[in-house]
Amino acid sequence: MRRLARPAGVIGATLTLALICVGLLAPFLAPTDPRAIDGPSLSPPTATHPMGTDALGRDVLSGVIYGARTSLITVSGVGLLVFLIGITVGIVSGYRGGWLDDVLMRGTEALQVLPRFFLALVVVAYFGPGTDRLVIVLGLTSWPLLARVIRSQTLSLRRRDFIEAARTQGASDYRIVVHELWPNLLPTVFTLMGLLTAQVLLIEASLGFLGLSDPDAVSLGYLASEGQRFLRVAWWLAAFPGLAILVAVLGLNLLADSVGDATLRA
Amino acid sequence: MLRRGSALVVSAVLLVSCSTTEGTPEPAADSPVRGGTLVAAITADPGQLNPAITTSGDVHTASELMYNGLVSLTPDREPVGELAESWDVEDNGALYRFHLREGVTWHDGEPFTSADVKFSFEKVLLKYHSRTAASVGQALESISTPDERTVEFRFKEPYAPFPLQLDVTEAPIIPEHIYAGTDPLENPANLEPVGTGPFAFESYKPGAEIRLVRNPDYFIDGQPLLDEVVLRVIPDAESQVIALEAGEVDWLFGVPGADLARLEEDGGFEFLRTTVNPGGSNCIMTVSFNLEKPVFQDVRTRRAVATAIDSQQFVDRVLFGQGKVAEAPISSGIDFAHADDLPDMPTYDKQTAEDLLDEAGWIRQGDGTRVAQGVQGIPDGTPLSFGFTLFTSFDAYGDLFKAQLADVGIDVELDPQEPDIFAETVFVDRDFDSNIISYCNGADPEIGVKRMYVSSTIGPVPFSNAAAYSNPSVDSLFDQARTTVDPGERGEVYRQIQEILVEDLPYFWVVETEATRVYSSRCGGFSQAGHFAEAAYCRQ
Repeated sequence: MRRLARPAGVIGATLTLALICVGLLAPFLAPTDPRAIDGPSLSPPTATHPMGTDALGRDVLSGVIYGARTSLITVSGVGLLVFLIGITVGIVSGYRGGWLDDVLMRGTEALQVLPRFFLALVVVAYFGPGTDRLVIVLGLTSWPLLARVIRSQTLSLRRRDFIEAARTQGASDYRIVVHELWPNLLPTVFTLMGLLTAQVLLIEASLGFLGLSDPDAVSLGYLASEGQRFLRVAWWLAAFPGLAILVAVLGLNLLADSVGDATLRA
Repeated sequence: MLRRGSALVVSAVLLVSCSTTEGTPEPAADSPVRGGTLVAAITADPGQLNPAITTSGDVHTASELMYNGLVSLTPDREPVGELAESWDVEDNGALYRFHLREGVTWHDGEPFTSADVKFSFEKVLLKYHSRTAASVGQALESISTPDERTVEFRFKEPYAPFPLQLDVTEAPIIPEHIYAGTDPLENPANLEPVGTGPFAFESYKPGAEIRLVRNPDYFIDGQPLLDEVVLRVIPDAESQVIALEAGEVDWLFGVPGADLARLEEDGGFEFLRTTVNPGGSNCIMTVSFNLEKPVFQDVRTRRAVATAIDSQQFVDRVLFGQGKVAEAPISSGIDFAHADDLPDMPTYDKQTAEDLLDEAGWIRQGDGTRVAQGVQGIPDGTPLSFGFTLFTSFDAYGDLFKAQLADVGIDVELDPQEPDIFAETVFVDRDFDSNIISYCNGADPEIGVKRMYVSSTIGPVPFSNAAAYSNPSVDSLFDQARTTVDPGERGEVYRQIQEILVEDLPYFWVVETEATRVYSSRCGGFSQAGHFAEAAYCRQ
């Protein structure tokens, strides 16, 4: 973990931590309700509205803060599903092998070729926009990469001497997986999760930009698309939500990269 | 009673120079020039170019220059002769006899006759043009053609609004010799139209542009002035503005409110404000309450919602001044029927809204959403929350509606939908609590108002009676209005209808919308409606 102390790692960790804090503390941090008509129409950034107001007179800063919260909720939900499914499939497949491995891997491949973004579009078009279904559809389709990498790592690890040693000492499969295998998989899991959640965040923002996010929740993508309509007269509407998306994705990517680098060098 | 419509040619001078910027030198509106090309931006590819088989705004925008109606409407929505030179009204308004203009020819050289009019109505308009079919079709008894220059429309009962429904938007006339014996929806002429209009078809590149050329034999002497009109498809409003500023197009049918102020300041452009939108004229953004839902049973709740809406804020922040607060159920554009001093018409008053909700049994809990306490048909403790269905393109209306109602303790759940899905959800499945629709009133209440309120229009037809409002006295008053011919008396009937409507509040009328056409200063002579470029010119 010391190697995280390189600049990229520090920046990544800070930005990610900031995203989490802003998301969790949104009700306390935001100056107003993001939907309240709170000021003049299209006011540029001022002391009362540090990021300006939109056409309806809503505070952009509050919108960005609540948008970060919506992103965080989506990303956490998807992340949890991906983590559980990806890890389970990967380890079972790699450790057990045989017909179970074949079945799981063919299933994984089938899912892997599905275009996630378009699948999300279809689900939103069919069931209407909503954070819950977005989490489910992205969660159920984003795990194949993680599962495949975990499987290959498990395959190579289970022939290593220390695993063989544990087995000859009579350790149970459960014990081997949890105590011998898992700690060695952790850095890979961490790196991949960072990259996957960054992708999910971008997909969520893109859907919002296309007007397909939950209309009752504030989303960064939706704010940015609203800003696009006023691009020539109110730069702040698109700039700040866009910057927030950039910062969040950058943070997750930098963090994931530096974790990966750190473990490679270890 | 005998009334004659004079065959006034709407002069170019009357229609130009609606520039909103004062003090800047007027373009030489009185010195039109011949020749030149006008490039106009349209928002969508029309798919086909026959305006008689659809009410689609995209098709009409792209095709109306090639066709004519029996009459055209002035900017004040008065009918003046177009293909008809004059007309007589007999039998107290149950018989209309039109005398057609001499020497009109179709773009292919064939003569235009009364048979074309009869054919257009009987075989096409009354079957496929939804507004005309629903209004004229219901009332018409027969059409006869005593000779080549005369058409008679006989109605079952006096039918006053007829002359207002004969312009190129409501009743374009198409050629019998091309459409007879074919399926009008599939005829190849829909893609290569033959009309009588000021411009003739030249070429159509789907998704890109439609080119029209001057009709040298047009029946109005000296018109049109332009050699060519190009309709270029540019879907995004922001891109249209950029194209105008770059000089790639000369004419926009509308411009987003926020950009309007900037264009006005920059100079080099002229502006023409109009209440005519592609989907119809005199449109009012209207909130419908689904009266089948328990939450909207109590008129006090509906009145509370209406008084909690600050319509001026919609004018300022959604329309950026391109419209005005609606003062009555019927648009101010229909002068004789609009009742602007109804005492019961709700106006914004937060306190009244809160009081009405308290009375209705919706009790506020702290600062949050109200909950039911003794509301009939609703279990105690149910939060005051309802859905609001809307076109995705109306999202700003939804956001403002939600924010304003949150202020009085009402929770609104937005449900944005694409237009065709919206029509299905609201009018076929009736699966909604409330919604917002741009109801275009048209030139007469018979065209676009009646459908919202009479009980016979509850049902699957899109954009009819969304509230499922049914009131026998309103039904019979609408019947009375249809058969009353004197405008003063008709106005009085519509006034009575509006008095009932603002008391019952099946809908709430938020804002009347306007569009602003913008065009390059080197052009002029445009009209607000119908053949917008008939008398237009562009200096090169």
